[in-house]
Formats: sequence, C-alpha cells, structure tokens
Amino acid sequence: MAAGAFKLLVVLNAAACLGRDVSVQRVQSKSQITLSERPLRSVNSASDVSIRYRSGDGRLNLDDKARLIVHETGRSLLVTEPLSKELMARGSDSGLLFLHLEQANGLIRIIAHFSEEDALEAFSARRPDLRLASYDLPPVYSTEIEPSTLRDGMDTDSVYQALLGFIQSEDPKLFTTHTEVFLRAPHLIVPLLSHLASLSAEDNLRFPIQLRRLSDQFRSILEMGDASIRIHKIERNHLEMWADAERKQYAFLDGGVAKIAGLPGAEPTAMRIGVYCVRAGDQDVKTREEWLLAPFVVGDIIDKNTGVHMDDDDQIDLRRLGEAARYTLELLSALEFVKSHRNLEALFLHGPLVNSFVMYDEGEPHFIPYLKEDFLAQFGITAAAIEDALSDIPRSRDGRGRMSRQFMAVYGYLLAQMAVSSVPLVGVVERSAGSWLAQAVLRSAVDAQIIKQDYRAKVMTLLKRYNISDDFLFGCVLEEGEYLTPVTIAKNEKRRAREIWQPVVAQFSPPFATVLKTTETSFPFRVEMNRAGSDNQANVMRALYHTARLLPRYAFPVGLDIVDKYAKVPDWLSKNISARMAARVLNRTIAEGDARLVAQVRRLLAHTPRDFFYRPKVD
Amino acid sequence: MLGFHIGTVVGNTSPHEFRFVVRSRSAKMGDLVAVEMEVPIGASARVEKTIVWARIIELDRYNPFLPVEAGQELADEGVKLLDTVLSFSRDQTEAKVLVLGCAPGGNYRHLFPLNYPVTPGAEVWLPPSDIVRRILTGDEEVHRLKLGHLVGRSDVEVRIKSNPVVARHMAILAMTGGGKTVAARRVIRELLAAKYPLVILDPHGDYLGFWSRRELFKENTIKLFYPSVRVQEETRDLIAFLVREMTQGLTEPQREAYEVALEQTKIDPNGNDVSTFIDRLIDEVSRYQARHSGTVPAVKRALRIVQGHLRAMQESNVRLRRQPRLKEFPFEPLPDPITHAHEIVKPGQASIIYLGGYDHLTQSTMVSLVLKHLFEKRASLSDEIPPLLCVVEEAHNFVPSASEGQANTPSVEIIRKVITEGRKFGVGLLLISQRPSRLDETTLSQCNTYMIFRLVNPRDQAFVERVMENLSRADSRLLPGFGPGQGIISGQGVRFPLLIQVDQDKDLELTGLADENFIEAATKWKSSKQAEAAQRSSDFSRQLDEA
Repeated sequence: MAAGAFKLLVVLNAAACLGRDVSVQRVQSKSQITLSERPLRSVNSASDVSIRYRSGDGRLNLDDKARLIVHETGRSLLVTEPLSKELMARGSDSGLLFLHLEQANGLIRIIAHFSEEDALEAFSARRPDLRLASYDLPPVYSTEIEPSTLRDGMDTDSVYQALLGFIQSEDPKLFTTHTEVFLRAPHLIVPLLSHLASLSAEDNLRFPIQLRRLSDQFRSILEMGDASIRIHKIERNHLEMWADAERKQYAFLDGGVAKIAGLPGAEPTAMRIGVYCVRAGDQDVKTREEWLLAPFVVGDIIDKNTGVHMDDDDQIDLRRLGEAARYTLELLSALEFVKSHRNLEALFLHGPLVNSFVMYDEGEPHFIPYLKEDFLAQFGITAAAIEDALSDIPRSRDGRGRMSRQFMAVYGYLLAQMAVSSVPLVGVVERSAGSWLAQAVLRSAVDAQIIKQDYRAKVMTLLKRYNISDDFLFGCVLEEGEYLTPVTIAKNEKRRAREIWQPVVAQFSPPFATVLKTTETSFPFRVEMNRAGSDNQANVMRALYHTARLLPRYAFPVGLDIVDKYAKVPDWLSKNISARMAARVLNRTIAEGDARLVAQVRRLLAHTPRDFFYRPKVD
Repeated sequence: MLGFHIGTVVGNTSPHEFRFVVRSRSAKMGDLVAVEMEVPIGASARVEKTIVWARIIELDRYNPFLPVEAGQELADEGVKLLDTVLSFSRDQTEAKVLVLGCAPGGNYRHLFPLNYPVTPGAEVWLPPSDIVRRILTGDEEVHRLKLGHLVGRSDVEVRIKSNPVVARHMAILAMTGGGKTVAARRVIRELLAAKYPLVILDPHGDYLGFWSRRELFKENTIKLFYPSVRVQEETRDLIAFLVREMTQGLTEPQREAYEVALEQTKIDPNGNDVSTFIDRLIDEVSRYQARHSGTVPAVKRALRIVQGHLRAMQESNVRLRRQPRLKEFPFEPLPDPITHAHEIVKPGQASIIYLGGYDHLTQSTMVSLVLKHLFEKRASLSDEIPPLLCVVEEAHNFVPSASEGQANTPSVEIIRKVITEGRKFGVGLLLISQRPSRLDETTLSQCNTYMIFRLVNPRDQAFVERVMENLSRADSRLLPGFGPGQGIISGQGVRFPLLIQVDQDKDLELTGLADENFIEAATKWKSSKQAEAAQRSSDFSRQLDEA
C-alpha cells in the first residue's frame, strides 16, 4: 500500500452497515465501523485519528482518540466510540455516512457527515456527467472515492471534488470550509511555503493536517459554554456602523524612519510620527480631519551618558537605539495626542501597543543611553514622575542616581500611563508572530477544566514543532468577522531582562490582546489594547473590523494605511540627504557657532519643504 | 510680478515638459503658466534669468489616501465616504505642462526654445491676462482676426494673425456639432470686417444667413449665386470629363465615338449652357460612322441620360431656391469666371455659391471650374481680381483622400494646385470638414493654420495627429472631450497651440435654414393637388384593370 499523504472519501450506507449482524455487532460492542471489506489503496493503520461530526442534536463533536485498523485481509475498521454511538442512536434512519479522510504519515483527520440518499440522488440527477451509479453511489454497503491521477479511464478526481463540494455545502461549518478557503487563498501560498520550508520533510506532509486538527480542536474549546475566552462575531453592516459612528472621532498613528547616511561616528536617524484624526460623518471638510506630523532626530533626544563605563571600542548599538526610540516615541506621541483629544473613541497604532522592551538597557553590549531631560520635559515627564510611577529603578553605576531617564524606565512609565488612559489605545499588528494567544486560550481552558494540563503540553509541543503561530492557527480557527475575548498577554517577561532591571520590567503593564479575522482569506491580525479598550471592546473591535473591511483585499484598517503612507519617509528623502550634503550643511551651521541653529538644521534634514506636509491641500 | 502662485515643480523635468503640483482649483486644462529660472548662456558659467512659458496639457487629480478597493467597498455598501474614516481632504492635483518657450528678461516679443530643464521645486505662476495676451501676440502689430478666448480664461482673447490664414490656408476640422460652422462664420465675419474678398462654396446653404443678416454688414456686399455653367473652349475638357464620368460604363468603341464627336462639337464664342452643348454633342454622335450598329444609339442614350441628370439637378437647385425659406433670397446665376471673374471677387464682397441639389461629381466640377479660373486670374498677375479666400465646405468631397477611391474628382487637381501655389498669388483656402480622415492628406498638411474641434472618430483623431506636426499626443487626447466651440488652434496664425473657445455669433444664427423641423412638417403635411390627382388616377386605373 502507498504510504505518505492521501485523501479519501468513503460513503457508507448506514442502514446496510447496521443491517448486517456482524457489522452491527462490531459497532455496538467494539465501536468499530467497517469502512471496507476489501483493501483500500492508500489507507494504513493509524492510531492518531481525529473525527469531527455533528450529532443528532446539532452539536459539533470531536473525537481525537479514534483509530484506524487495517487488517491483512484488507478490511478497514474505524474505531471510534462517540461516532459509533451516534450511528447506533440514529439507527436505520441514518441514511448515508460520508467519511472524508485525510492522512499524512500516520496522522488522520476525518470528517463524518450524515446525509440522505434522496439528497445524493438529487445531486446525481443534477450532475449526470459524473455517472455516480458507475461508482456504486448510493452504495450498497460502502464505496471509496480517492482522487487519482492515474489514467485508468476513471475520472475519480472530478467525482471526488464534486462529492466533496456537495457534502461541504450541506454543512459548511462541519467541514470548516472557512479553514479551507483560508488555506487555499492564493496569497497564502508564499507564506505557507516559506513556513513549510522551515520544517522537516516529514513534518511538511503532516503540517496541513495537524493545522486543521488543531484548528478543529481550538474551535471546539472556544465554543465550549464555560470557556472564558470565547469567539465573538461582528456582523458586517457598514450602514449601521457608520450611522452609529457619526460625529465620533478616531485617530490613527504610525511612525516612519529614515536614515541619514552617516557622518562618521554620529549617524543620526530621523523619525516621523504621523497622526491622522478624523471625525466620521462630519460634512465640513475643514473640521473633519486633522493631520499631524512630528519629526524627531534621534541624536537630538538622547543624552549620550549611558550610566556605565564604555571602553574606547564600545559603541552604542544604533540599531537597538533606533528601535527603542521608535517604540518610545510612538507611545509617547500617542499619549500626548490623547491628552488634547480626550473625547476620542479610540486611537489606533500601527504595530504593537506594547513592544517587547527587555533588551534596551544601558549595559553591555547595547549601551542604550538616556533620554534628554529637556526633551522629556517638553512632555511634562520628569524623573520624579517616573520614579513615582515605577519603583525599584536601578541606580547608575557611575553613581549619578537612579536611571529614571534610561529608555527602560521611560518606557515603563509610558506603559503605566497607557494602562490608565481613559481613551482606548489599540495597537494593530498585521502578522502576529508568536503564539501568545494560543497559549492564553490553552491556559484558560485548563483553568476552566475544559482540557487537561497534559493535553495543553501536547498542543504546545505541536505548536512549537510545526512553528504554528497565532496568525496561521487562528487564520484557520476563525471565520470572517470573528475575534477572541481580549486577554492579557505577557509581552515582557522579567526573566528576559537584565537582573537589575527585572523589578522594573515586572511592572510593565501588559496589554489585552485578541485576534480579529477580517476576511475569509486574510491572516487575522493581533489587536492589543489598554484597559479602556478592553472595557469597550465591542465598539473598538467593530470599528476596527469595519475600517479594515474598507480595504477588503488588504484587510487592514484603512486609517492605519492612510497614516502609514502619510508618515512614511520616502526614499528620495532618505537617499537624497547624503552624507556630503548633510556634512556641508552642518559644517556651515557649525561654523555659525549657534548650537540651536545646528539642532534646527538637523531637524530640518528630516523635514524639508518638499515634504508632503507642505503640499497644497483641498480646502 | 508673474501673477498668482499656483504650484511647485516636482519630479523630473526636461526642457520640453515638466510636472507641478497645483494649488487647489487654481489652474485648468489649457492654462498658460510661467516659471522663473536661470539658464546657462554661452560656453561660460554665466547664467541669465528667463521666464519659461508652458501650457497645461494634462491634469491629474488623485487622493493618495483613498485606495481603489475602499471606493469599491463604499459603492457596494452604499456608504458615503464622509461618513467613514476615509480621508477626503488630501487629494492633490498634478499638472503636466508642455514648454512653449522662454522669454529672457521678460521680453515677450520673442519666445526662444528652452534648452535647460526647469528647476525642480520652482514656483509656478498663473500670469494675469494682459501678460498672457502679450505672450500670445508677441507684441506684434499685425492685423488679427478675433476668434474667441482661451478656454477657461474668458479675459484673454485669442486673435490670430490674418495673413497666414488668407495666404497660407487654414483648415477647420470637427465632427458634426463640434463648432466648425460657428468657427467658419467667425472667420468670415472678421474677414468681412477687413473687407477681404471671399468666395464661399456652400453645398447646404449654411452661409446664406450672411445675406439674411446683411444689415450687419453694411460695409460689405453679400452676393448669392447658383451654379450656371457655360461650356466654353477653355472648359470643354472639364465638361467633357464630367459628361464622361456621368455616363459610366461606355465601352471602348462607344468612348471612341464620344471622343470623336466631342472634338467636332462646336461651341459658341460666348459659350453654351451644358444642355445645349450636350444636344450638339448628340448630333455629332449621330454623324459618327461606327463599325457596330449599336454604338451610336448607345452613346446617344447615355448622353441623354446625362442631360436628364443635369437638368434634374438644375431643377432641383431651382426648387430648393424656391422653397419658402429661400424664395426671398436674391439668387443670381454665377457669373462666368472666365469673363466676369471681377463680379465674383470684389473687395468687401462675399460671394456665396449655393450648390444644393447637385450631386457630388457635378458640384466638384463646378468648384473646379470656378477655382481654376479665379486662380489663373490671380496667377496672371493681371490684377483683374483682388486676392481672395475661398471657403470650401465639406472639403472631403472636393479633395478626397486617395483611399476614398475618388481620385478622379475634378476639383482635386485645382485644389492641390491652389494649396501649393496659392500663397504666391493671394489665393487662399479655408477647408472645412467633419471627416478629416477622408480628406487628402497632402492637401491638408499644406494648411498652415488649423482649428480642430471635437473629433471622436479614432480614425479622424489619428489622421489629424499624423498630419499636424505640432499636435502633441496630449492635445489629441483632448479632442473627443471638447464642448461645442472648443478646440485647439495651431499653426502660423498663433505663436503656439492654444485651447480656444470660439465666440458664437448668435446674430448670424438663423432657424429655418438647415434646421428644418421635419417632425412638425410631418404633422402639418397636406398632400398637394398634384399628388392627390396622381393618387386618384392610380386608384381608378387599378379598378379598371380589375374590372
């Protein structure tokens, strides 16, 4: 028999199955359903079988303890207690039982669907070209249809596809057609293939089935009545949504980064934080929209003092400094904006609301410096305020007191402000790497006694083994317009931080996180929000969903797309500001001897009159 | 001061074109704009200030923050953009301009080619109307014809130089309703004001209104003529050609008989009308000794058919002139262009030759006759007649393209001759056509000034683009979208191609002429006594036959 992966559709005449003494005995006493008395071409015995079916009361059920036994004689038996009971319960009214099997290297996923002979006959009448009768359909006992590329004159592939389509249409939820649609989306091919490339050859074969099985299981867990994390559905209705949103203000924030090609030894990086704020339904173009663009030159906001001794060949890790600056400035800008816009419905950020910020300390090898006192003062942030908000800020090793202005402390302070803001602050992450939410779901399921700890461990192992991140997993689990109950996730585990900073990192406010699937074929995106957002999750998620539906192909909130374009630093600005030009300009201004002028010129290098900001706009 | 600041140059520039971002609603298609810049001069590093003049040939407006798929979603869901979070305020307009030239030191008299790209980031200005006018005219003091104003700039008149129009020919091309008659009337009116002699070949009576409104032209004489062709020795061949073409299908022996008879047919010293000439021709044919007995009758029969056709056309012309709307018009027979050309061409006179009722071939023959002799009068430098402009309506019928298969059209040769040599002798042509692609390409390309109005036929557009060397691709894309009276004028009459809105001479528009209301006519129609008599007779005859 062939090994490896295969798909198979077995159609059982349930009445016949229960009509024979031997068969009914197997079902009753051994929970064995006879699939076939003769050898099936591709089927092997397997102990790792999951079966999904809908019971007579309409509930979806999952049996992940099933087995498949293939005798030497070729007889194939499906060993499944729940399905056997279901079959017995339905009795001779069972009609037909369709079993769709997918196997890969010993893993089998089966979907069992009960249907009627009449329905199949009606289908056959609609599709006389399939000549189902020649395949013994409806079956006397059982028939197997395996898609085949063999040129044996039988077009089993067409029949298989047609029958599969038929039974899927009878019960799309059972067949999780949304999962199939997602996995077959054309734009998924590349990420899927690149994901498979990271797995072993053997796991390549198993991955699709494992993913589907895990998806089935997660769905079942999330649909349990006593699950604390549940699936929420948003009904798409633009007319209602925007009617409800009339006169409400939403803001969208994003940052763009430019590198000004270096003056040796001082490679300033420029950043722009853009905010697009709009009042939906406001017909007055003048008052409807607000645009802000704040440029920053990183070199201007840092205090080179790192608080530690640096040898001559030690250097500040500029890449990390850039990251730290970007995360800090974005959050700072968001908080600053909501201070003056207290009635915002929500402020959406492009990217995480809370970044992983454990490695931006002053020590070796990164030497991330402090933020300037006067820069922080512009935003009303003082060392005292930071120390009030965070305890146990470590002291600098050069004896200059607490490192309250170091990026770690400042970021922690900002997170504290974020947590208590009355305005929903929401970060939207396009591709959710990591499996925070999968872990959260499993954890809560254990707590609610829906699953056991060992099963959780098993799933975690599988997630790790197959590198299944939240985006792939929940891309399969969720249908369009669905999201999970927001739950806090640990973005900053203190154990990952340097020891002296661990007490501070432990105080970093975590975000509430969820995933939202916008369209059938798109990856879900991760949404992180503060307490205000979580408390108002229904409105926030509804707004997010509908703004994302305005870009159905991209499936990302259109406001963030707008501000992303707005804040993006164009190539011409990056490239054209060359070292020579920068050097020449700076040289002249330095010769002037005015430090403020020098600072101003450096800012202007990141923000020229040709900037889009200065372009004429419709009035 | 260059006017209003309306934008900033962006992107890549070249000496021929550049793009600029336009301040909201401050410029339109066809506007002339100016940019100040420095250009290198000579071999040294010296520069001089110059003003670059350009014309907007493309305007793109877009909102970089409004993705197409969002628009689709709004449409599908029936939601208004302003109700959502989509941005409405950041659309921008970008213009592409064609550089017309540069004027160093603000000297508008001469425009020089720009040989250095415009500075990216330079400011773009919309000049005030007086400066635009100076740029259009180059401060030259010459006689001009006022045609209208720039599209979108009602404060800037467009006046084209008159001499290139009358001496070096002009073409007005537009589809039906595009405004070519309005434009032609404008030109004619201006030339009448200048007392320039005009001969207007009018197949449909479009210009008879000039006589109706003669009170507006007190300084002019408006003459209405109908074709009255006399056969003279000088025109024997032309008439013979007409007759031969009208007979169609003469066999070789028949043609021989015809040719021999033609040679023998006498023409009176003062000429004969065509019908008399054909009678004499028939007589001569009767005397021909043909080898085959059927030859002579066949030729005679053919000639009688021709005679019948010509009489019918003559009668048709008469009937048209006797219609209620035209019967008051004082039509006169066209004076003989050989002997009385001075009655056709006079200073201050517009001679309108009404060709209605005649078929294409006959019209062409008449045009050929008239034009040939008028041209010869001028070419003889005898000063028998003053310089003139001949207006040729439906020009594609008189000088068709070779692809029309009408190479034998009698007027082709003379029109080609006039178009190539007319400038030397003061015989100009104003060709008017709604199907430029049916016009002879060589002839059209010899025109030095063009007014192109709305053209939607792709063949016509492509043809015009090919023939007009200074019609850019961007300009030709405007052709289908012009409104009535809007067009492009280019050529020697203007400094550079302009978008023009021709002034409409409403006082020259007349209802009832070429605008008959046939719907109303059908409802009011009563059959004539003759028609009733004919119907009655037919009914009675049928009854008798049945009995």
